[in-house]
Parts: sequence; C-alpha cells; structure tokens
Amino acid sequence: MTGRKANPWHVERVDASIVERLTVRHRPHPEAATMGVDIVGDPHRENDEGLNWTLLSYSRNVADVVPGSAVVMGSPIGQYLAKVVAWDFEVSDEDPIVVLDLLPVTPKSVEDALARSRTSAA
Amino acid sequence: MTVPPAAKGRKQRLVRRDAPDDLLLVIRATPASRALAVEKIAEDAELSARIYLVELRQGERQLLYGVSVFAHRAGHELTEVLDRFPFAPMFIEAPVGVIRSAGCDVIATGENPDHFDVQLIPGVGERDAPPSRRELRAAAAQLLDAAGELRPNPSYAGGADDQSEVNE
Repeated sequence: MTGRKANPWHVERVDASIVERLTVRHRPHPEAATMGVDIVGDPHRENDEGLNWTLLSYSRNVADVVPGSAVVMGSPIGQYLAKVVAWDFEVSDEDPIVVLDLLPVTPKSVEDALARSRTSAA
Repeated sequence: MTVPPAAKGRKQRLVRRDAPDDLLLVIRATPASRALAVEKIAEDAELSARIYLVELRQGERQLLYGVSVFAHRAGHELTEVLDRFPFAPMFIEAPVGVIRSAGCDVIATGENPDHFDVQLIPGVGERDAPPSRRELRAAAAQLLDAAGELRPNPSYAGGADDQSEVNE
C-alpha cells in the first residue's frame, strides 16, 4: 500500500470474479443491518500503516465495500465516513481484511455540502 | 467461545521499542455504559488475535489480544487524541505502568509513534488454547478497574444518533 501514500486516490482493485465469489457466500452482518451502515468496525483500530481495518464479514453488502468505495462505518461510538483502500487476503481468502481510510468529516457535514451543491445547481 | 485459527496464518505486527511506564495512554473513547465498553474491548481483542501475532523476543510469537490505544503526551491537549471520537461521550486513560499492573502488556505497534496495543492477555501462543470470551471480559474489566472511572470526553459533540452538531 505504499502507492496510497504517494497518491491518496490509489486503491488496490479486486478482480470482479473474487467479488462475485465472496458475494455468493456472504450474509449481511446483523449489526450492520441494524445500524443501517455499510460495515461495522472500531474507529480506534490502526494497522501498521495507520489505516483502520475490519473484516468483510462485518459488512452488509460485499459489492458496497469494494476497494475504492466510499462507505459509512458504524460503531458503538458513532458513524464514520471512510474510503475502502484495499482488501487484504493475507490471513484469509474467504474473509479478507477490509482496509479503511477514515475521513475526518462527519456524514452529516457531507450530506449538508451535497444538499447545498444540489440547491445551487437548480 | 474460542478464536478460530486463521486460515492462512496470522499477520506479524510491527513492534517498535518499549513503552515507558510513565507514558499516559488514552485507552478508549467509550459509550456511556461501562458494561458495553468492557464487551467491546473483549470483542476487539478477540478479533485482533484472529488476525495478528507479535514477536517480542526472537522466536517467541504470541497472539495479539490487542486493543489500539493512543499516547497522550505531556504538553499536548487531550483533544488532540480525542478529536477523532466526537460521538463518544466518555473516555478512559491511564499510564502504561498502571495498565501493566492490571496484568496487561503495552506494546508499541505500527508506524504511528503514538499508537500502542494493550495486550489484554499476554503469552498465548499459536498452539495454546485460546482464552474464552468470559476470560477476555474479565481482563477488560480488570483493565478498566485499574484505569479508574470513565470521564467525559472533552471532544464530545453530540449523540451518535444526532451527529448534526459536529462541524456546524
């Protein structure tokens, strides 16, 4: 993931066939479904590169949390916007680590900004 | 409940130099409920051990029943740590020495110089029987007992269900 540091737009894409395979066996995580978020995680967590992480099994829909996606991460201490940077298969082929870059803005502030932009475009 | 073995082997955590006993650490930004904080610490430590191990001395690998914590360094405002947790009403912090006195270890992990893992149950090898969720809960409760009371988060900006107050 060294490419991400040089270019924050960089993500490690996952082959569509892998996404399809994992989608077939996936069941929505109950907490993600209850919270109405894309994925559940702990905002304290940091990997060696300072990025947040959780597992694919903690997501609601596999296709919504592929690398490059903007997601809402739910936790017992609030919701966070994040960008999915990569899926890490080092530990498991069936339940990869989802590497997240938590964004230092709130979901509400982004909703408000988007609402303003729609208003001014009308 | 036991920790399922990793299918392909665990990741080895990057370990930096030792953590000094007098270093103050923000252990958690927490919900208002201490019981929920204990449960989440136990759950996070269990998940960490599914993924990570640490090698503190050559050839001695142990599962990392870790929770990520952050240094609150002298001369720095508490909000420099807690700003990232605006929806957590409470937090808890303690010096490294106090955390170690509770039976946990503190390991400097990752590239971020302010990031540490509290190893909730030290010394569990890959072939050892893993601790139960009950044991993890007991260790988490012991950690929080040693650290003291949950305190109000100075960066708290409203409930998790009403995040509208932040950035406004």
